[in-house]
Amino acid sequence: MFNDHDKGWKILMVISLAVMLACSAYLGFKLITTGEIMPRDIELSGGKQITVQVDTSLSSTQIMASLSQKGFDTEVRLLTGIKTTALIDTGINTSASDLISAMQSIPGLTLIGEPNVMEIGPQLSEQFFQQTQMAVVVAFAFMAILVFILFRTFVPSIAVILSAYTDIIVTMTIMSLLNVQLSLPLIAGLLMLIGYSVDTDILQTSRVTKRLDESLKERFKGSVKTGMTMTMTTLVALLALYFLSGNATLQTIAFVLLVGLVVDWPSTWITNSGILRLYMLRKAKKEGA
Amino acid sequence: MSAKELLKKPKVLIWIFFIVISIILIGPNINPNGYNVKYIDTTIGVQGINKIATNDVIYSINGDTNVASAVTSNYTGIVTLETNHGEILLRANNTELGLSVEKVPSSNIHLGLDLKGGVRAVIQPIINDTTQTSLNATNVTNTTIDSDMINRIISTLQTRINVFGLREASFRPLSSGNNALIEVTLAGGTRQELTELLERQGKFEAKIPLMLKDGAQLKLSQVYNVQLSNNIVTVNDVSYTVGQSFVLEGIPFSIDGIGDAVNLTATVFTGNDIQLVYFDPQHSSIQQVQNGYEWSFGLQLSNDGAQKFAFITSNLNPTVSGNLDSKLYIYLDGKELDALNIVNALKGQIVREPSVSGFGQTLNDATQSRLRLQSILRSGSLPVSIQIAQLDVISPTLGENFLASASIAGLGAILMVAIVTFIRYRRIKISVPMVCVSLTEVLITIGIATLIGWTIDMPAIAGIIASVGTGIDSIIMITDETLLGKKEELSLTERLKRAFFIVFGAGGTIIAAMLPLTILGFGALRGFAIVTMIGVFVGIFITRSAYGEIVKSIIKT
Repeated sequence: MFNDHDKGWKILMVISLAVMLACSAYLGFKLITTGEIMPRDIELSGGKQITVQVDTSLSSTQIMASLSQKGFDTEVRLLTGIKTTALIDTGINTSASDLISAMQSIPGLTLIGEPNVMEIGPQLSEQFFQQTQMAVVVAFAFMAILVFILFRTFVPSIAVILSAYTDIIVTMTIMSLLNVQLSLPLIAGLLMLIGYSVDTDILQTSRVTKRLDESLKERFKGSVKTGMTMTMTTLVALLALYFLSGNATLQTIAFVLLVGLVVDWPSTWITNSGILRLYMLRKAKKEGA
Repeated sequence: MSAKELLKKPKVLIWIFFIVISIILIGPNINPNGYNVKYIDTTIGVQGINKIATNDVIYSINGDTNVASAVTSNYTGIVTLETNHGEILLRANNTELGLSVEKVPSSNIHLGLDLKGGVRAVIQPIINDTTQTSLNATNVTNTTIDSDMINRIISTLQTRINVFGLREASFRPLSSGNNALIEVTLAGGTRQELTELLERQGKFEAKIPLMLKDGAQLKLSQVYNVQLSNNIVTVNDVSYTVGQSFVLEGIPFSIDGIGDAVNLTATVFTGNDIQLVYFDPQHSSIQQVQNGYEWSFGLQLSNDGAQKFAFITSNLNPTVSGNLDSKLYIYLDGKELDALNIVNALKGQIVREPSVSGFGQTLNDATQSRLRLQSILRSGSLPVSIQIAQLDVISPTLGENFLASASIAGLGAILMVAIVTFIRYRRIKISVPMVCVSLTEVLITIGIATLIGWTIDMPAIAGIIASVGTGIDSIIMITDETLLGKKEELSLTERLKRAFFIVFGAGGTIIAAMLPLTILGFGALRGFAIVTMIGVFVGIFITRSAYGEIVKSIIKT
């Protein structure tokens, strides 16, 4: 009744667990050596940020260089999509209007519409940072508790939680490697990811442990089909959001979720799947196949 | 199951009910016409201005339908306004009309700053050792920033905004760790306006104008002769012209006009002189009089202030109305706030505890006017100084553009989702309900948000996206559990039950993930969490249940 022909999946599972451990180690190392996992956005570290729609062929480094020549110490990022938005970070004591005038005088850079200016003191931003960190940890804990309540069995629950943990760790590692800045929308995205990634895991675990009218293989196969549809719909919706919304916040959230969902794929269908299989097989042996 | 039978199912009916309610709540106004009156400045003295009330709609001014710009011009003579109460005629004398208007919105949805533009600041009260204000209303000796203090700060600022600002501002106390903070949002405002409002201390002055003829005497503790000739007034042997000011016995006088008589304005007391403002029933009251309500409350002045008041009022004359022939004008930061009558009996009297009174047409007006003045007098200056911890300036153009792009993105996303579902299920009968149900989830979530007055801003939109995303996932799960797979073993109900187990589970995890934000996070993330949770609840209890029924009917065909 249960066949475990393809031993290939055991190897795959080991690989994905290794990846998860490697990422955890990387982030832990970075935290210890530099004090933070990712550089922090203005909102979480204090300073001024100007957001404005632009039309330009220059790169962010070129713009930064021009501004630096005029005496402004800044960090410039360009978000592209249906519109290009420029994000300029600078210290809290810089005059926003001076900076905007300086930008207007850069050849090859046109500002469209009025800019948004956000300034935040270091004290407040530090508080934001602490609080949101806590929120992520607590959210994860709540989610774990809920999973245990749902399934009431130890191993499948652990599998789901491990899978969610992997999603988040690997996503954050990728963000860290890409030098993405930690910001409030990013954290919102991570929290959404906690919820989303667990969807597919819950689906699979529930199907596999409860649908007793089908063979194990069929159960796994069936859940892949459903899971794939779920992930595909979310993926295309996020892609539309990323490219069409023209807004920095939504783009950040879309980006985090896109990376997260891509990571969720192996995490659900290899890690979670693998642990489940072992569990079910062992259960079958106990009950006498 | 035909469509008719479907409509009889309670879950479907609940769903349709919510859809209709949401549309009503959102109240889409297809062709919004006209401008709402937001604020009326009656001190300009435009005749007939009392025929207009706030929230009236103006369609044109003297035929000009571009009311927003027409309302800023000066007018002389008769001005014709087309309003929702018909035609109203005003008469102005080369002045502004004193109206502040806002375009009638196209729906009830309360758009946030991100979409409307404006200024948002987070302010923090500063505790220092010398937290002394000149107004020590309740003899507060400690300087802790508690919720009472925050409320006082908010009420002070609210008064200022009402007096000086012509737009709606909202205040929200926030807490972050041990700090008490206030978030101030000024829609459509500019950075300058907000910083000015917040950084102003609130200079309070009470003045009485006097009119003295040539040869008259100005009575203070001594008597001073006043002589007028050729637009020069001489008091106490010193000469002045119009526009100058002088101080006599500690009372500042400004010279407003010289003609047959000299018009002087004496500043009788300032914020420094008010020691107490009474709120208790013994010293404050509201009484019903002939055509309205008269309110009053007591003040305690310093000896100095009381004396100055006595000196100046000794120069006034009683009239048959029961009040002296001049008024006490209240100024806040140089702008006139109120004009109060002084009863005859107070002439020349040292009154340490004068009573201030006024009139309101309704009980509510009276209560509000009294409270307003009490607040100003009690805390004309802020109880503590504040600093601005965070300031966001959001430009309206960015906001408008955003709405447009968000809609495009939304439509694009829906289209893509529809395509994917069609590829998978290959039956329009399945794809269409799936997409429709998701759309209604968005609609109902926005409807509920509008009902509770929640602003739709960037985090809210992100929240809607989050919940719709899970919604689609859940719908797919329901579809697969029930439609596909072997049909013999378990009944339809069993399968739906299992499907909903998963749906509840998935919804539950999102709620679990959002819960800490509602307690810990503040500002943007909290809004995001709340809207997501509303969306998930709507999904679980309304839309997805209805979808379950729809799926049942599809199977039976």
